[in-house]
Amino acid sequence: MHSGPAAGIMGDPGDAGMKEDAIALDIGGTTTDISVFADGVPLLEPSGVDN
Amino acid sequence: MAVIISDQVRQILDEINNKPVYTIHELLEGKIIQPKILYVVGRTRRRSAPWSLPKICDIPIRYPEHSEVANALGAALARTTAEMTILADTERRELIIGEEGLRESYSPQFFSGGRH
Repeated sequence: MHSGPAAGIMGDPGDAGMKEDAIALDIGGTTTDISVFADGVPLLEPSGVDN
Repeated sequence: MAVIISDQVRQILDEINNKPVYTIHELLEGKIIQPKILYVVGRTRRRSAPWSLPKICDIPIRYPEHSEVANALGAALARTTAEMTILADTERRELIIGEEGLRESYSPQFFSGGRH
């Protein structure tokens, strides 16, 4: 699990109550990591894409 | 690039929605993931993104506060969801997780690289 983007979102005070299905994209210089949330909870197997 | 990411997101959602979904906290059997929000974090700044995300995924975008340093924030703020003690016995080449009663051998290449 990519803890960085998932926890960075969960740690944002503005999203502390997020309970929706959501997608997170961590867009870096060479790759984009994709994380999926079900009812606000991160799933265990996100994937990444090469930019 | 935007199309590739969009296709990958749809593919991931299809795979997830076609099998039981497991989260850290609970089993969500039968749930279909329908994302309502797209969060974007990372080095890309919204003003300089060369492509337009809203048109790709058709859901509202949110750039969390301090999105440029989200990974660092995540490392600092991550909530503990599980704790375990992993012992690598390099003489016996065994991994032991006492809390799980797990003991298994690992190959000589285990510590030489790759993602775990």
